[in-house]
Amino acid sequence: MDLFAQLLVNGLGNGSRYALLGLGFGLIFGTTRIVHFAYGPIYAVAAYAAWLAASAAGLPLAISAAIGVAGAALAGAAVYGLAYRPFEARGMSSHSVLILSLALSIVLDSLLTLAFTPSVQTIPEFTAPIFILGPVYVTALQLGQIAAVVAVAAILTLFLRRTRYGQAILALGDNRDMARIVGIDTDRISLVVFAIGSAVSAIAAVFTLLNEGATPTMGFNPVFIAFVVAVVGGLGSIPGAIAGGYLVGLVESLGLWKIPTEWQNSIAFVLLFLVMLVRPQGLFSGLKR
Amino acid sequence: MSARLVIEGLNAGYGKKTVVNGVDLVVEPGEIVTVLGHNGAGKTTLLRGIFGLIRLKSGKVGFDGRDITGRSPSDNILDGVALVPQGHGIFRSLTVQQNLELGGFSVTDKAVIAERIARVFGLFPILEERHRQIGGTLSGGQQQMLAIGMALMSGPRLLILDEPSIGLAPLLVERVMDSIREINAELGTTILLVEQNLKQGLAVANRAIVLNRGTKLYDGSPAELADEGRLIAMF
Ligand SMILES: Nc1ncnc2c1ncn2[C@@H]1O[C@H](COP(=O)(O)OP(=O)(O)OP(=O)(O)O)[C@@H](O)[C@H]1O
Ligand SMILES: [Mg+2]
Repeated sequence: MDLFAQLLVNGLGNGSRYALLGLGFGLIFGTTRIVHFAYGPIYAVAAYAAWLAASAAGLPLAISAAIGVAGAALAGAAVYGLAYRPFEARGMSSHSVLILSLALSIVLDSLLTLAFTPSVQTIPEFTAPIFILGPVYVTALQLGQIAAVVAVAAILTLFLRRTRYGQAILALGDNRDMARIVGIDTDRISLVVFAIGSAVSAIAAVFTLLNEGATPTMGFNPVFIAFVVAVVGGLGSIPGAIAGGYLVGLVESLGLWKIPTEWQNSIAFVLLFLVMLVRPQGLFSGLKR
Repeated sequence: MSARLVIEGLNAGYGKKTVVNGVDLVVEPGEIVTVLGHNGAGKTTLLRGIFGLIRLKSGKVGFDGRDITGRSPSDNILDGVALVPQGHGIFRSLTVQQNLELGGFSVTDKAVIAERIARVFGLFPILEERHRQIGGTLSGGQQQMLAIGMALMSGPRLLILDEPSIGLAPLLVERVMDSIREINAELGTTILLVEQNLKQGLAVANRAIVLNRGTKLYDGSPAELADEGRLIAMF
């Protein structure tokens, strides 16, 4: 029972990161219909930007995290503006854009390896406080991750519902042609969406940096997790992505109870497979944004 | 006074294919001009070319005396041109109210938006009753009214409509045509209308155009065109 409680806490912690990943990925895909594989290396860019700020420049953690988030937002917007957008403007099919995003992802991975070496970079002086609640250990990072999901979900919801940009994002996600017809600058909105989606994933990246450190390929698994979470949750819905994130996190963690560790990474995909089989529109797709 | 819309030698198409071939057209302020033509004649392509949704191969578009060739839809709508596209001209996942607000995306003054929403509700009272309903759950006729209402939100001087009556029951076709007359008469909006429904399309028009395989076959009085012989010759 103690093990179960501990796995539950771990699942909630990881699930929070997955929820953030799914939120960012779902926002980008739901609005632009681009399957953004380069989401992975941009996640790594966020971690490295924060790491440089904290270790090389010696900035405080909060500021370093903000720099990581801003760096990812810039990198995400740049990938859209310099790579995807010119392809789309030439009328390339979504398959071509998909291949482009895979290629881009490989190139960015290599560049990160060249710049930072393949070894793990950590912020040396950082250790997260640990709280002991009865039989379970809860780290400050786990609590921080949960708080981040709550904050991001609240801000995103308000942003989408209340602001002009938010309405334009919803409109673009619903019907691109109509969005242009009512006078929305769809290129600019897509750029903004890439920036926001990347920023959201960057929050998860900063937590990963603090947990495990940064490596050039640290974004590889998260892209797939983001994909699974977004699909399981029903693409483009905020509550769906959050529910999907926690579902994947909990299933993965609680699965360890009975399933050997080496299968942990496969659990998410088994879940994806099952969901696609039973409810291809996503488990939570009926929920409103 | 300059014409509202002047099109000269418009060529448009997709890839290497030319679909609209050297079309000239003048629409005067206050007119209702109906464009008729078979499926695939290039009517939609013509309208989307005028509005800047597709790039023209060649030709010129003028609006109120200014050259607007190749201008973006967002600039066109700011300047008083609006389009009701063929098919689903609404945001299906958003409410009627949100759809109307988005129709007025180019308008920044909240008071103007409220005033125009009230005007649309005056024209289509059913939309007011259903203002919280999700657009995609409205009936076909209501969706079409919403689409027209959205286009009105930008306060256009030229309203371009692409087959607004398609798929509607005869009574609803009447209703939509009446609303077009009303918009024209009461708001003074110039109308460029594409219609499949010959009878209704001609009845509402001051002038009719026939497009065949991308070229203009007829430009003149709807009554004369309605004369059986001419219609049969054209279609
Ligand atoms: N996006 C597109 N890509 C390639 N070809 C297209 C595209 N849209 C239309 N066409 C082709 O251009 C031609 C004219 O199409 P268009 O939609 O302008 O005709 P239309 O007169 O509006 O027809 P309808 O009455 O069916 O709406 C058709 O042969 C059509 O197949
Ligand atoms: Mg058409």
